[in-house]
Amino acid sequence: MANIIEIKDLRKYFGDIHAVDGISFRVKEGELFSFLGLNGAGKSTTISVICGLLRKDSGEVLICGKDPDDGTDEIKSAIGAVFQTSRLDLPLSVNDNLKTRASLYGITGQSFRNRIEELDALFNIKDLLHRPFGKLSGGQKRRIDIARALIHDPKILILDEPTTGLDPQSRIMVWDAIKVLRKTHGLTVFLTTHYMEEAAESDFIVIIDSGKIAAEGTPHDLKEKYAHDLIKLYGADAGRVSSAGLEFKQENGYLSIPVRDTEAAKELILKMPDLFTDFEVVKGNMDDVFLNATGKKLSGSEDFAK
Amino acid sequence: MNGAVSLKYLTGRNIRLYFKDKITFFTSLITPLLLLVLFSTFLKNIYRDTFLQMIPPSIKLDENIADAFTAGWMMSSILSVTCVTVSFCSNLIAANDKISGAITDLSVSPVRSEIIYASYFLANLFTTLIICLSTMLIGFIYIATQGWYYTAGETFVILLNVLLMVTFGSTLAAAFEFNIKTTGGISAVTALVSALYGFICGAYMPMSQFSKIIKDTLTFLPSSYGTVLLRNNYVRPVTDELSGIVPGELISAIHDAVDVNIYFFDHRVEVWKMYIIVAVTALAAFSVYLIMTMFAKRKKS
Repeated sequence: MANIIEIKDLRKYFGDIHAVDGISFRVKEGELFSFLGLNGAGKSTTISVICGLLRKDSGEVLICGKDPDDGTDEIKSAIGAVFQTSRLDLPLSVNDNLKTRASLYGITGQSFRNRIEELDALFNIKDLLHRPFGKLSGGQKRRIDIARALIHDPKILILDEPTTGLDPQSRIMVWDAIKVLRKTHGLTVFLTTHYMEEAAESDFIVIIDSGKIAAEGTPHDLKEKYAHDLIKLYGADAGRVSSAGLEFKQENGYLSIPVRDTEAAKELILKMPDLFTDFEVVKGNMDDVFLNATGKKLSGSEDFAK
Repeated sequence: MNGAVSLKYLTGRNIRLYFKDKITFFTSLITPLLLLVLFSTFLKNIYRDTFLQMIPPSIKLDENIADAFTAGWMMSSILSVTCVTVSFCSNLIAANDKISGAITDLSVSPVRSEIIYASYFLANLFTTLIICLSTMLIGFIYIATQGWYYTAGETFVILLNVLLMVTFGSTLAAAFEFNIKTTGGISAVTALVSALYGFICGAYMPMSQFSKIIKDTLTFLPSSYGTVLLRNNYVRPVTDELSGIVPGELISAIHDAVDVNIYFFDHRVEVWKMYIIVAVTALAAFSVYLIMTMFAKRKKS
């Protein structure tokens, strides 16, 4: 697969603030790419540079082989963006909003109506078309935001925290539609999210911290490198565990013993069967990856579990 | 071609957004009507007496002429203020788009920023025109009740002058309000313009009544010529009825007193020059607006 986004040593400063400080990565065509970081880490600045909303200070940015700073329409037509907060007009109807935005890509008349039919099949938006955008629920607004981003059938869909604040049903609908688009249209998805479990589905992840890349790789690679398995030991005497020379943490109702991987857990349990009578082995997850890569905890993962 | 389509849809969007905001729309619409009520309540008799005091007691005038003169004077004042203040108060979509972030959503599409800004200007021009033409029509009805002295040609010239003044107001609003990015900024500018403009353009009080230094200073402002143009349109056809009844010098004195004539350091400015001053100012303001849109596009940081 060819690279559809290539970024080399990108820098963007705002006075003394180094919003993006020499990051390099690539996104392959058709890939689900996750870009993770806390608020202020440099995610939105990077997205703004990719979309051509901000000029870079230095480095190289290529979208479909072209530099967004050259202002070519080709790049803007290739990108659809869903921002953290909705940018559509609250007083206008959904139809008016989509019609205006579609016209900016030269989609009017029958082409517009056809596109609405296609988007309705994915996001079930027809019932909402004549309602004022501002009167929709959070989930309905997000569906319309995504429909707007896809109105011109872009090659790249940029999703800046698309499911934050959505109910589980809306989240599922959004992700199901994105899966269909990736499968049928080979859509490349550039995702930023606070939900690490969404990122776990990605083909490739880049974690950014204070404008610099803290870690990158596939979810499997990152888990291997940054996450560790855990044995939860119930009803055990802390003194016995300690005298066995094991490192542990006292948690609420159990002792937590970190191990390198599942194989190491198996070896330990077989070595001390008397100690491990009531236990479970928990796999390391993406939260651990983020925590260990940046030393910071990403908010939102607790919400995802709800 | 795509630019023209985008311009059409964006202008339509801005107009719809303006009319959806009912408070802004009704405030803009009510302001000129309120001015008409206030003028006819508080200033009508003063205007009428000013006119009648200039006519020698020996000359018997048709009552309608005094009433039509007063109504024309009032309407020229109201429209000269309305065309500019409504433009400033209606030019809110651009600032609101910056506040809401909608401008970001428009900017990620392959539409040139000049098209986006041109759509703001055209929408403001259109909405201001609707309000000012409505005011003009209501004014015509009011004048007709007082005494009608305009030919079809003179009525058409009034319409053209309203178009010119709305363009003048819209270009000034576009240039002056370009950099506003907060609701506080919008409130400050509209409040200042609403409070000051009527005085500095000579609408509320004729400039001829001011001290020489203020009068001379105001002749440097293009807005003064806009007011005088409308005063010409509305008052001159009425005073033309006086020729043969009163001496020509007296008519000229009346014209001087109510700003049908304007003097730039004792030199009377001809009407065609006033048109050029207003049109060139509108063109200059629009050029400044265009330059700012191009500068904003390059900045992007």
